Amino acid sequence: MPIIAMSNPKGGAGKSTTALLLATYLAERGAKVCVLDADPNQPILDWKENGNTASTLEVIGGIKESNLMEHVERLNHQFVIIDLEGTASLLVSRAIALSDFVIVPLQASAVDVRQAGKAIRTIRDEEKVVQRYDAKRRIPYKILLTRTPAPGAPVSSVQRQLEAEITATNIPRFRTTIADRLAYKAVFVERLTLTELKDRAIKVGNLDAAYQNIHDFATELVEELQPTTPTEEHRER
Amino acid sequence: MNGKFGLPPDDQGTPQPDPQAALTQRLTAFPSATRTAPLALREVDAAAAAHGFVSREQTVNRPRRRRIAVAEPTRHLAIRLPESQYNRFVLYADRLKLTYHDALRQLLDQVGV
Repeated sequence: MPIIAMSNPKGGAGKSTTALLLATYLAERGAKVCVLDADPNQPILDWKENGNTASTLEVIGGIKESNLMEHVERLNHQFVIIDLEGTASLLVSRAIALSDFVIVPLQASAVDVRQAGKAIRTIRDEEKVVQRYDAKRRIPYKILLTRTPAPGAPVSSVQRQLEAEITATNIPRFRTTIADRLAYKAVFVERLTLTELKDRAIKVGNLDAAYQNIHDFATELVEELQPTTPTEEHRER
Repeated sequence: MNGKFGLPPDDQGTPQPDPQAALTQRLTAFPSATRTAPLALREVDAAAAAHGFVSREQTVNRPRRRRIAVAEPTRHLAIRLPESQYNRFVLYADRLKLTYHDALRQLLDQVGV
């Protein structure tokens, strides 16, 4: 059961959007997926409870420092995605320490990048802490560029500089970026999945391209994750 | 042979793999399993605090409680328990305005122990 956290202390970096798009896509592909909505605004819980989606995605809200561990230990899903708040809180750091993979979404802006740096340093330190108990334990992470121009559109100089710096510093990043698309905003407005938007003929930009974008991202992520067999840390329920 | 460079066309009709089906197949390798994740929260929190990660939640206050004299001899019970359970117990006692030992007695009475 890989636990995947979305972390960047900067708000608006694309954590909730990425979490929802990834989770609904994996669920649509037949996986049993749960999102722990740890964002105080509860955007994913709102999406699930106040809409008419038929997605099998399960969403649990009200996640706090004091109940995070308890919730995680009760779950038996194939994938658990934790959508974290855009602050530097103990809830965020505890979720990072629990996770098998951390996605650090960020837009090509100086503020996003500086805050992402804080998240990355925390991931590295938390990894050292958990390795005191399990020397083999790793907390891998990758930067995910969000709200990038659609393929073929001009790329800003800020983004080019950022990508050059990521390459120079050897910080791992996803090849795929999440483009700035109307369809992603519509997912939250209509409270539907990308597929449901298409099925209902809701016109919100290029839905096929949006779907392909998420497919590419999900495929790249799943290649990073190792299926685990039940061990002393994992047990079948 | 067609084309300016004489490249042979793929006339074998090689079926292209469906990338979405391939992902669906790969996802089945991930088992549904629960996770037991004992973490030393104090150390995890300390590592995060160095980078400015602090608690954003109100912690449970522990007001001074009135000591109740009891006729029988008393014994000391020290319990180490998960923070979430600790908070639940303290909230339960606060909500009912009970001392901890009265709260524990009430819970024991409820289950008939």
